[in-house]
Amino acid sequence: MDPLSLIILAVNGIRTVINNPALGGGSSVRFDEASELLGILGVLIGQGADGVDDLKKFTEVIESMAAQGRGPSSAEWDIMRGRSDDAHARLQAAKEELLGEEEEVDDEVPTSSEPEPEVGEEDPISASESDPTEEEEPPPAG
Amino acid sequence: MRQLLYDRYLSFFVLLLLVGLQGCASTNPLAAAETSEQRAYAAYGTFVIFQEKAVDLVGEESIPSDVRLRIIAAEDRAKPVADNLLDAYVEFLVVKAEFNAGNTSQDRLVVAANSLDDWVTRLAPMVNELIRTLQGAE
Repeated sequence: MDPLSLIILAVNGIRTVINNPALGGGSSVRFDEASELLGILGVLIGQGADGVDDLKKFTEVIESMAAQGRGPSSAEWDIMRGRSDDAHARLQAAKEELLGEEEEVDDEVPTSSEPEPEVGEEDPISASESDPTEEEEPPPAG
Repeated sequence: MRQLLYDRYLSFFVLLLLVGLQGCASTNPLAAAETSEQRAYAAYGTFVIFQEKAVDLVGEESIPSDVRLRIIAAEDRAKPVADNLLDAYVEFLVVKAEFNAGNTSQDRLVVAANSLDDWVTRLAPMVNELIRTLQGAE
């Protein structure tokens, strides 16, 4: 079993214990909340470990900093801030696009909720049913 | 306070779990940090990693629009806090430089460091919320 599978197994096992008062868990709010976040962690780890790989690399950077006893350089901050601003801008653009799509859907709603034709009024379905081309009977055989 | 305890508890717990199972391969930047500056960078960087994860998920057509909008909303709430953390860091650097030059007291340096730590503590639950929303999308 690879380490990732072991972690997923362990996270799920710990969640089970935390959620189950009979096993000694579930007795405090903190454990409930921890259980929830452990679930998130399990999912994030289980979905391919992209985020975990990034976190691992970043942790190594921080560990290296701590080992060298130095703080982040201004260049490192600039890069990180650039990434953050770029991601934020892309999310804002996506938001505008999604909200635009929602508005388009809203605009279409009134046409589909037009008032029903009153009784006696010819509706499009009955009009199409009364299409003379459809009423044309085939010529009698023979 | 409860949130603080909870975050610290969780960070420790997650670190313990991951370190225990993956040897020395820790995946908790905050736990690896030792100083206020390193903690600030670790918290901000962790936020950025999940921001980028959010960008990837928001681009997924298969995810419903309302879920994608919730992800964006979670990021929207966290971003100003992350920006404030950056401001606090710049302020900390100014005070630190003044202290090193003998132009200010150690108390002021401690206040600036505490302020920085405070913004780290405020950002942590926002990142957790973003992670929760990302989980909802997946």
